[in-house]
Amino acid sequence: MVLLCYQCAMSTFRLQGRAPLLSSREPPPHWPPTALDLGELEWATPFDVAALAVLWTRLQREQAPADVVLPADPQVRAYLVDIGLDGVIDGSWGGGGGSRVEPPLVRLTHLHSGEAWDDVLGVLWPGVRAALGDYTMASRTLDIMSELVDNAVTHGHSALGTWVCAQRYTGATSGHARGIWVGIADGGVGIPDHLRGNPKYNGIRADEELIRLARRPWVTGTADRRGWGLKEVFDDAAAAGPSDVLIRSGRGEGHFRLQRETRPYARYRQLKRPIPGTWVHVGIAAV
Amino acid sequence: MVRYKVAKWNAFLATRERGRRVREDIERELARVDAGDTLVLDFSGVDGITVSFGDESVAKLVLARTAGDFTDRGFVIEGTTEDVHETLETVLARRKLAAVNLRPSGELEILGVQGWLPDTLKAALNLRSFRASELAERLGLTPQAANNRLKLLVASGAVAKERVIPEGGGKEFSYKAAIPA
Repeated sequence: MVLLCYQCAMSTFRLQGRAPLLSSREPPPHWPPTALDLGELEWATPFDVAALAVLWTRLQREQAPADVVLPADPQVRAYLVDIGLDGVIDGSWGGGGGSRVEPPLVRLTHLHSGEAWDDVLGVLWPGVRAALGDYTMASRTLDIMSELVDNAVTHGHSALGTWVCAQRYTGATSGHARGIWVGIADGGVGIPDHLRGNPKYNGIRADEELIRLARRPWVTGTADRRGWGLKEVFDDAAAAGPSDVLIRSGRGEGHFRLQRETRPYARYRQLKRPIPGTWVHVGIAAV
Repeated sequence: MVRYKVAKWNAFLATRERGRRVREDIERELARVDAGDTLVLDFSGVDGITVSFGDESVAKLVLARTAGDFTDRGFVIEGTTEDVHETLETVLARRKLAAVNLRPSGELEILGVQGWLPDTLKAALNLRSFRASELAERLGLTPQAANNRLKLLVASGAVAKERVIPEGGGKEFSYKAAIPA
């Protein structure tokens, strides 16, 4: 199955099939695209939604308007309305509801600061807790999201902001194991270039190697010894395991499979074209 | 004792940015507390905190005390859920710091690094008001060793210290347990 197809000559960014950005191993090839074609999109994960939001925001900021083809499947369109993408990408989306997927756990949220996320949590925390009905899972999910947001708004800060959302899956329609999937995307400098700001790492050319190093505590090398955020994400995801974490940033990708008291499986690779900023997917087993 | 309700900020506290704001607010409150008095950091109503928030708020508050900030007044933690308790324990231990938690039963416990701290705390609570030499005598330590222990104990908020001028001149501190025994 073709998951992602780019028609570069026409500068159309075409996303089709299921979870095209999460499944694909390539970032958008040519910038700026003159059209965004979601017509044959069959399923979008929080990662796809967050990445689309940050890409579209970038287009808007660059005043490079693109034509949009919305998903032909009314259920897919309804889901993207439910999660809030209609508030970002222009078009005649129609109403939400009627999707096979249950309502989003956390709708697409745009942030420019950590404090804004703390403010959102005032409303989000009771809702997520009620939706999941399990304190530990609710707390773990928001811990993971919060540490990722904290990293993104601090180290990945840009005028594009940070986009985050989450969805619980029962597995009935996706065919995947039951779980909570989190997607977060920022348009900042990216993990590799951020780490190269530390003289200790500025000689490392391979972005994927810097993604590997980003998991180490105190990796940022700041005087106040911070840099636990990503380690906490991995610890929480492992505690809830089996979990998946995918990080794409710059030209690097790290894919991790985590399980409690088990050495994580990690695979790193170089992307052919760089990701603008950092995009992260976390999939944890759900109650 | 003066009470600071952490829950006024939210039931789930997440980011470093918010952690820094809360710490600055606590420091403002500490500045208003009389010397020798104690600020209770009341976490009741807070369901959860992240490691980043805990580090930026409580761990850095303790860290500032190691540098001498507000050491003439105490502070104690109270009302933590299991989740908040575990997170504070983690962030303090990572920085090799400690704070004192008052359990609902009234029992005191050390959060963070342990080692000799529980015994030293117990001795300080028995003495209530003392000089380093008296603590050294109580624990059978050298004055230098007692001073080293007192540094961490003062930073934890359990003991407040005040500079006194001895009869023969020079520099000396008197210590006072800032929390109930």
